[in-house]
Amino acid sequence: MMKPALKPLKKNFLNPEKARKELQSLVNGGMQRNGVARRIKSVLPPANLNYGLDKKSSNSYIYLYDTYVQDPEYKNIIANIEKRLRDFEIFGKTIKLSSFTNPKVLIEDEMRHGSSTVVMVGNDDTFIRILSRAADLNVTFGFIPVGQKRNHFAEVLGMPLNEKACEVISARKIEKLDYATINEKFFFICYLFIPSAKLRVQCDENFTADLRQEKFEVAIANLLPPPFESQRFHLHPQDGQMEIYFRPTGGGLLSSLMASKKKKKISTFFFKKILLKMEKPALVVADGRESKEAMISIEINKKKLAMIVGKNRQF
Amino acid sequence: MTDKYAEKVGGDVETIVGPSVKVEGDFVSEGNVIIEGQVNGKIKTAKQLRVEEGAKVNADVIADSAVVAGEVKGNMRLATILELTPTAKVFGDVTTKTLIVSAGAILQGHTLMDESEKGKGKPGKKSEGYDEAGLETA
Repeated sequence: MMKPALKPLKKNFLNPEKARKELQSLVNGGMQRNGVARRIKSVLPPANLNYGLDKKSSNSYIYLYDTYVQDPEYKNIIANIEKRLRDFEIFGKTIKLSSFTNPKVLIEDEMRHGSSTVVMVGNDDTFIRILSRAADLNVTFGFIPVGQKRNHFAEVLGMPLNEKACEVISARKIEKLDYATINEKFFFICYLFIPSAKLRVQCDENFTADLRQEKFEVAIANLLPPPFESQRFHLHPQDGQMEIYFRPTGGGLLSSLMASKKKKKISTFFFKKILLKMEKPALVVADGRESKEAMISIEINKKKLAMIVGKNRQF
Repeated sequence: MTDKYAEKVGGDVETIVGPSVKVEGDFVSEGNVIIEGQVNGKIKTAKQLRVEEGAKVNADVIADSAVVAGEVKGNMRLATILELTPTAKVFGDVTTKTLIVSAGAILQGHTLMDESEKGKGKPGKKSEGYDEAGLETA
């Protein structure tokens, strides 16, 4: 009689290193399609998945890999990152995101299994995509920026690129950041932009601003400066308020030429809660997410987002 | 925010109401405020208020200091200095510690000056109808 490929494993007799290697390869390779993986999984309760690395409770870390980091050109970088994470004993479950993955559902599922630190592995798009859905979850977020392109937030958060970020993740310097809720539904942490709209603004239920005389560009800044006013912008993502900017668009080329210099001046307020009522539905871009809105309410959640940051952060 | 704005108010600008913006309600700020448009209601700031030429303020004002080049209809209470530039028009009572009025400025209202209370407490020296520089105000 042939022996089964793997004997049923009992936790007491588990070889941690072997299990870690096996499970890691299975998790990366698609556990659900592998019968052997199912057997191992049934022996190890999901909440206790630790891959044999107990010293820093590495089971609490999950790593969300963006799609692009799976390209061959990043193979070496990812291998180096994983090696460094193992060196620091903070390596955990890795999950490869697809374009259809809902990060919030995924993280909630992992939280039920004991994960308390979610490390995003990718670039600005990864960062925005995950946090715009999952910023309200009670976990600590980390970020490992991969590659040289589109990694502005890495600079803001003081995260070095590629495997050098592992040291910062390991150090676990955590800062609580503000983020905003839009229409009680989505979140943004970096910026919101409305390219052109006539609107009325209700600010902190104290005053209203009428901006219907002409069209305005509207920008709200938290982790990124507004596109038209970046020179002296200071990041302050922990003060419990955000800054909103209004700049007249000036219409077409002719009207721009004819418009007086005075009319191009920018208005700006600080707010904790704001309601923007557009005269007509207008394009709204919040952390890259585009939608057409006639009215948006924005509320600041002060210091609710726990983020691992580096010492060279810009705030 | 631009260096130009920061220079004007001697520090970081927090709030700017641009020329084509109309604000109604209680406008409260912890930082410097620049008004270039129109404000109706109340303005309160712990720092400096600057009302630019062409701006219209129909509001009572409480601030640490103010520089007015536009028009203010309402009472102004400043902890330290009120400066009126040649284009300023103020219609209302003013309480301040120091008042600077340039030639050409219009100030119609009572002027209360009290150094000890920094312009916020009991009225002290009262110069009704004249400003500190001896100019007729009403």
